[in-house]
Amino acid sequence: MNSTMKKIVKSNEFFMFAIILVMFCIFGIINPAFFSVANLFDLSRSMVETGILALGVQVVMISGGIDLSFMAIAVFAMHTVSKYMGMYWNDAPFILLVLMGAVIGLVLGLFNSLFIAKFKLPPFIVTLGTTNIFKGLCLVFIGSRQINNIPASMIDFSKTNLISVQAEQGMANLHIGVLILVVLALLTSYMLNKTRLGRSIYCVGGSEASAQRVGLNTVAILAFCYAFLGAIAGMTGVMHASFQRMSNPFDMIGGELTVIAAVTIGGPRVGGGYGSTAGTMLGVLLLTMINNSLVMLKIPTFWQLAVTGMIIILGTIMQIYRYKRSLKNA
Amino acid sequence: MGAPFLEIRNCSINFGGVKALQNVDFSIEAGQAYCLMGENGSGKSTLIKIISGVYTATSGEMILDGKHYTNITPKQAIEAGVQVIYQDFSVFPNLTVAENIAISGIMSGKKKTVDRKKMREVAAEALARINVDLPLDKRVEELPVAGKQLVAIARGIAQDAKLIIMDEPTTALTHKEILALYEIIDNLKKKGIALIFVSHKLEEVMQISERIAILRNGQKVLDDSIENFDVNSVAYYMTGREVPDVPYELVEVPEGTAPILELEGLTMKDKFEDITLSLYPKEVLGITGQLGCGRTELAQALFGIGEYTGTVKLNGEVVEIKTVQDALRLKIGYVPEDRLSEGLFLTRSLSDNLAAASIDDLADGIRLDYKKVEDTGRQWVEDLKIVIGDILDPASSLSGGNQQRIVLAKWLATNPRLLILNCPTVGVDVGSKSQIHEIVKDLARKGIGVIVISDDIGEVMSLCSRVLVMKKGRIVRQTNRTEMTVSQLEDYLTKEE
Repeated sequence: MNSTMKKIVKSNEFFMFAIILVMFCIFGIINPAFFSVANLFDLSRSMVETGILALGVQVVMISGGIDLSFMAIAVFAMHTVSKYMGMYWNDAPFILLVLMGAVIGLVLGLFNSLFIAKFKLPPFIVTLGTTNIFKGLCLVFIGSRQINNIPASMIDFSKTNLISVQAEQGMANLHIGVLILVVLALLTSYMLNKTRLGRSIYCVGGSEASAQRVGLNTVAILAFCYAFLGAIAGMTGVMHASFQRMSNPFDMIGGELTVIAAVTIGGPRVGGGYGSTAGTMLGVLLLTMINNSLVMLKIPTFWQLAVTGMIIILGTIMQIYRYKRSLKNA
Repeated sequence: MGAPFLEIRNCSINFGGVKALQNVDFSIEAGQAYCLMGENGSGKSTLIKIISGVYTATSGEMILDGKHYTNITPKQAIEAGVQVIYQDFSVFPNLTVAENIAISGIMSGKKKTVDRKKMREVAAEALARINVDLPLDKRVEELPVAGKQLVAIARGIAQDAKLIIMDEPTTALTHKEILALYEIIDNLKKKGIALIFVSHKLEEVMQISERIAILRNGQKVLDDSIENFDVNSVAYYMTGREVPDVPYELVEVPEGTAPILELEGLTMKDKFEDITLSLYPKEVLGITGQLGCGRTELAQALFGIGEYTGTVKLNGEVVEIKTVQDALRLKIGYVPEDRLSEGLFLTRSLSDNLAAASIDDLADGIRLDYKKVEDTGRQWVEDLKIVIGDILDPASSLSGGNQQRIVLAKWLATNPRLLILNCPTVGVDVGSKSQIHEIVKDLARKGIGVIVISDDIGEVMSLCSRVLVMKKGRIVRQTNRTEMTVSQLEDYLTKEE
């Protein structure tokens, strides 16, 4: 085996991929319907929201931080855009709505940055606080009622499919959201690996003091990470309302941990500096697969929670074990 | 010689009310090697941080490569060719060797994207220039300490450095690696790169630099060619007083004296083997050897860290030391090698630090008597002449020498029978070093068993009455200063088998 192959086989991503493959086969053997096109399309659609959010969360985690407020940001953007655009410009194009969501999220993310990057407060505490601020302000100023009158283009979006094929029972549809996820994942991966900005995020996560000493503006880099996640969350909020065909300000909140869990099992070490987009996406796939498929395997849904929890802990144990072994071999 | 590469004129900086540097002038030419010396807190690090743009001087100006600056940014300094190799190397453990070396170039060019092929070329070329071979794709966290330092040096020269500043470059290196570093330094000088070293090790300074500048309390007290100095005069200028270096008396152990500590066939798998030794009252026993010879593991084993086989006798009684709690119960104290991570609670107060090992004695039932904690702390500070602000200040507020005395006092407070000191004066300036030595000698005279582990040969030869030499986990020789000189022992240590 040559060294590149060896490296790939030893990588965390390959390991995740192998686990997913094994589980995939097991699920398929237990219930052959798992392999059906309809189910696979459904699975990919279920990945869209968690996946896009995870892209933002991984950037923050690579920088060595954490953000708990992204769901609150998503809801704030979702509810604001849905309410005002539904009232005043029902025909606004979908791309504009998503961009508005991104801008609102960006501003809220910068608010986090102010405390975390500029004033150096611990991100866990800051975003715990801002979660409640964003949630509260949304309920007070935007409203606490569910909004059904959302712009028409959002409803259209929920019905837009990339591919439709004839399946045994009706049509199997691959939603356009999957394409958005793939494009965003490629962009994020490019940003992290090939641009100076992306590499400086790894630098800050590896050692903030060293980063300052090679002349990096660590405040700006950290500010970018939280703003980036904010923008991603804002976009996801608008997409969420579209999928649901209404905007409920009590939605999404509580789902933070699933996203953070998906990112965590995908690779980034707590403390920052590690992680890749491929790993994050595999983490999302693994969790989504488990959540979606336990139902198909006729396992009671309450088990989903427990299984998710176990996977997080098992994944972390495996990572630490593999890391220690790699140090020993060094 | 042409115009100096770097010139600093009349530079001062204040922190709050403290004058960290006052009217300092300094200049260095291309190809010159300067050594910057001074006690902890004398302003060396501050001066370096001004040159590298981390701090902005309150007044004064700096001329770098013919350009005037009043407040230079770190980025400008790097672009002008200033590279600092910090004591902790400032590498990125999560990135590969290649990326670590090429990082300054990646971050300062015009391009917003990263060219990995070029990155590897830059890194390979830099490594070739210092004549070392490192795996480019390995993550830096997987390298040994010396490798990390080589990465830091390679990074310095990859960026067309014209001035390289090294802060305590040899503390983490073995003797052999230090010799290799000297060679690299010679090469750099020949290429016209100016070098500034910060170091506490006088012998080393004498070997690598041509000129020496000494700072004391923020002022430059001396700037001269190195030939005009010897070890004693440098120490004098740094401290402003004569530093006594009186070797510890050689102890004659009368026939039939019971040893404080006896080890028989002590072994730890892959770390050390068949260690047999005894420590008699009034002795200071030195153990020396190169990094990785098992000296630290031996010390830790005696303090209950790590599993060993063999017999340990304390005052003639066979004891088992399996955990740190066992060691505490047996009244064994251990001053670790790295006081910052293992010896101190940096953010806690000095009184808390001093009380940490003897907390049970300071408790009144289950209640802790804070007044007693503070008073006992003050007493120790006075006894060991530790220079502090307030007893409630955090441990991080002290200089290296004073921090080390706090660690020492913490163990003295437990009233130990046996005290093991692992590299007690690393990163400690000459003045404090000799004071710590005096404290250690006094302890031995009082009958506390003292083992000093150190790779500073000068230190063990002067401080210890008997020295054991370890190589590859075994004790290979016993000596003292009448049998061997410092340089003989150094040669013996580095000799290949």
